[in-house]
Amino acid sequence: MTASVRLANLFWTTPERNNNPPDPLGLDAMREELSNRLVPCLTGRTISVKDAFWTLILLRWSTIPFKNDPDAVRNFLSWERCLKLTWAKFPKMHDEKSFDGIELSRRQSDEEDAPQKKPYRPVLHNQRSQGLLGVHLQPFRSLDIVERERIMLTDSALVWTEGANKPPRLSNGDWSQWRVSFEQVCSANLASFRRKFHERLKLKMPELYCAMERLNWSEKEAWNDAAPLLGSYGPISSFAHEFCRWSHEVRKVFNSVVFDGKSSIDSWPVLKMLPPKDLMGTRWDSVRAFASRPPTLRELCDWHETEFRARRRGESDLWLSFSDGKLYTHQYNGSRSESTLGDCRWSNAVRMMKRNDLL
Amino acid sequence: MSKIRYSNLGSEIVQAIGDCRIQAALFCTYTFRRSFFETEVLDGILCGHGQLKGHFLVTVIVDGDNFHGQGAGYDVCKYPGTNLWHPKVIALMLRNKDSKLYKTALFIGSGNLTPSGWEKNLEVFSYFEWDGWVLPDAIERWAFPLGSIGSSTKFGAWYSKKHFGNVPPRINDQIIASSETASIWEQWNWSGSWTRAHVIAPFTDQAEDEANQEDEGYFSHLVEHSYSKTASLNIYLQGAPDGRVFGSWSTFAGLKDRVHIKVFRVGGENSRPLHAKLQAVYTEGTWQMLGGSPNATTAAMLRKWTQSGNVELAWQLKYTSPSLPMDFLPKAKEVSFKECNFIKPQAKPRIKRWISLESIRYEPSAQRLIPKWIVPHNIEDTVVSLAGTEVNPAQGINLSDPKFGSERAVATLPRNPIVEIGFEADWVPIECPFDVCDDSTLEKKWSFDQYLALLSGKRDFENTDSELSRAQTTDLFKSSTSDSTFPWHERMVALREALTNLAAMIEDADSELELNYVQAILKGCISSASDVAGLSPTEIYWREWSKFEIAKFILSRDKRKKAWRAMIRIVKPIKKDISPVLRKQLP
Repeated sequence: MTASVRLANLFWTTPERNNNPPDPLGLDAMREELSNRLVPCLTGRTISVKDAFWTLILLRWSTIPFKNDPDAVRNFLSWERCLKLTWAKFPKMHDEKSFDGIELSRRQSDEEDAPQKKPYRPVLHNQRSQGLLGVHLQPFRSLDIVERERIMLTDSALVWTEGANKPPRLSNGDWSQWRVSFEQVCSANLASFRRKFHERLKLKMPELYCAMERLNWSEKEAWNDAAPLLGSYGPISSFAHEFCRWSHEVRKVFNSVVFDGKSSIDSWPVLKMLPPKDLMGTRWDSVRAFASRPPTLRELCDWHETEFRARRRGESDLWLSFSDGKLYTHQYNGSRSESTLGDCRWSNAVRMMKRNDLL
Repeated sequence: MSKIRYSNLGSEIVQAIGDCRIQAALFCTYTFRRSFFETEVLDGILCGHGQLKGHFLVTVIVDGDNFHGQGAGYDVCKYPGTNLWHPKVIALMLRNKDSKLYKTALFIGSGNLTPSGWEKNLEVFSYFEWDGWVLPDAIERWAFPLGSIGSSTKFGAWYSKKHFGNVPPRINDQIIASSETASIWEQWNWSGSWTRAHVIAPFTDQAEDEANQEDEGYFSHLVEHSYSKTASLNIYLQGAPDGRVFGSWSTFAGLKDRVHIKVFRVGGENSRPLHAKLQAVYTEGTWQMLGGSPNATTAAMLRKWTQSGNVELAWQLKYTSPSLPMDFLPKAKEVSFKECNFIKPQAKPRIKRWISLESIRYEPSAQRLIPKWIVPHNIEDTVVSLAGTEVNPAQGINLSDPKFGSERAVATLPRNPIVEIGFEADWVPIECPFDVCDDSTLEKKWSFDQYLALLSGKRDFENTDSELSRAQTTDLFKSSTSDSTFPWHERMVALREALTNLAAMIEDADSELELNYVQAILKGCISSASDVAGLSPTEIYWREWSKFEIAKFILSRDKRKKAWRAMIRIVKPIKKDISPVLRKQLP
């Protein structure tokens, strides 16, 4: 290795691309709490059956030769890197426009001697939790695809992936071989995985499946319509519908104060249903307090500060602050973007559970 | 055409680490945010890549006015001088055991160790790497002669024993400059007069974080080296939300007649705050660039630190071309100088502190804090407080007492209320022996399962917010337990995983300090396994079985290796506690 001092060593900093959505009032967190009850076997980040398929395949290749968790995880991350480098090189191989870790994958795939299977270099910060494993491990455990006490495929998942028994041998520097290897695995096993995965989701969340089927897999959030079909989850489902709408509106009001410099709260949405009694905690207390009346700017500030304090954020992270009777906005701390978790995982459930008749 | 990249600092560090493991790390910063460092940097980036917290040695050196205590598992040292400690450095000592690669990765830039410095502000960093574990002379000279920053720190102790190799001469002699031996200006290596210059200056003279100025100021000095009145000087100032710019009208007004001056506004309402410090002058067909920590101020650029200048670290680069590389300059809006509304920077006075302790050391066997007073101070005129509680260092203090939390620094304030006016607490880090100050806070009575979790590298994450990343890090090893059955199988899996990890830690421990750390965890683990008062019979049996498993695992190892011998010594005495039936199966 030679020391080099080139312009390439110089860089302007940018914020982390895959930052989690900012949540100034804890609304996303509350929707997550509702989602965990309504769609327990998925998470807000489980959005692609194909990603789930690859996670399972990579788990098979990693856990069969390595019986202990740390080694299996390390091997998994290495496979994930190879797969993502290939996706970065051949974007059509991935259904979505982007994927977690695309930036570093592109950089590694653009290197002169790429692709190199070793050494392993992460494609994401904390790839273990931000990458495919972090996204799918919890759902896989809920669906009895991965064992609960260790990272090991269950017997049924081993049967599902029998067709991908042998991991491909990837040759350094040969992109076409990498592409063909991954494509072959995908074309041979994806369809069967889809069917079995679909069946498993149906088995684990039968009421939700029936409700969504009755509603013709409506892409638009319809927790209210689903409520009568969800048995004991009915009240939460109705409330989720109301809360999704209300929280969007509240966020808009908050944005207008932070980003548009509004000095008063003119219109405030009314929450037609109060949170069910079993939803407890400071966050829900704020919702109950402002369900039907608008907060003052000071109260809005306090709500935001309480939320950030609970998340161990400091004063310099605040989007809004109140000092000497004056409101200050700190726009560079925030972003207008609305959360992707906005429909209490309705769209995730539809995407993952809808029966594909082509299969 | 060359181009300057835009990239995330964390991603760059992840790339620099690659498949190596961190052995030791040194951070220098002006301001420091402890919670950010612990969760995002230490846990999220550094430990997220095959490391265990506390398993490598981390030291942070921070400006005295910005020091507010430290956590367990790493050192935070206060720069002891009265001038401003301003360098921003990240130095990682890396090793790949398989490929026998040893390298030093060094980032020098403008961002502090805070969320703003890493994520929010517009900053510039430069990255260097070379073989071996060695720091450039400029940094090495600080790290050791500066009193408390010396070899008593985790990084310092490791570095003094382990460093080897040489920094490439060009980097040492021509690229990296500190304000220790000469001012940064004197070391900025160019001659002649400039015809074009760009100065990106979030802070100018009399700026917020600079000492007050007596002379004409840095810009006046810079302009003295211009070729003629036709030379053009572009100044990029930080924009304020109300459309004004941060800077002093008087600083720039005097330059108008000497060069052709243009002012640009960077950021403002919806953009990231400018904090990068960058300068480029065009002379004799070459752009001479300078970046790093120094602002365009007298204290940063024109004085060395013994002349009440700041402690700064800069890099310099030459670029032979008539035009600057693409994206070297930030996106900015030109503001007519006449119409430019300035927000005059306020000089921030250094905070008056009650500095009465030179150092304070913890002696765990005696449970005492041993203070080293600055003559003529003592407990009579000084209140020493730890985590908000007044303590008498001479009396017994147990640092693992929950009321002290993880605080590892004392505050000193004057005892006399009349003198107290105008003083703020002076924070003094407690020097602890390695096994006390480390991550595991091993003085604490941890539960057996907590020790196992520590051995397995499973860290407890705060899960108070909605951010999924943390939740999923926890979920990764989350396991289900049933209240009605004893989870024997699950516990055995966890124990075996912990032992596998313990073996890796022992094999990897290549210093006395690391070995002490592993020994301390093992001791704690065994001792808590013996603590069975009030437990159910199943739990007691499980603990005995665990001790047997641990003993079997350690005693079957190669006694010829020093590291394993040390572990065997710890385990041997517990043989007698194990039931005869199991004991027979031990090696």
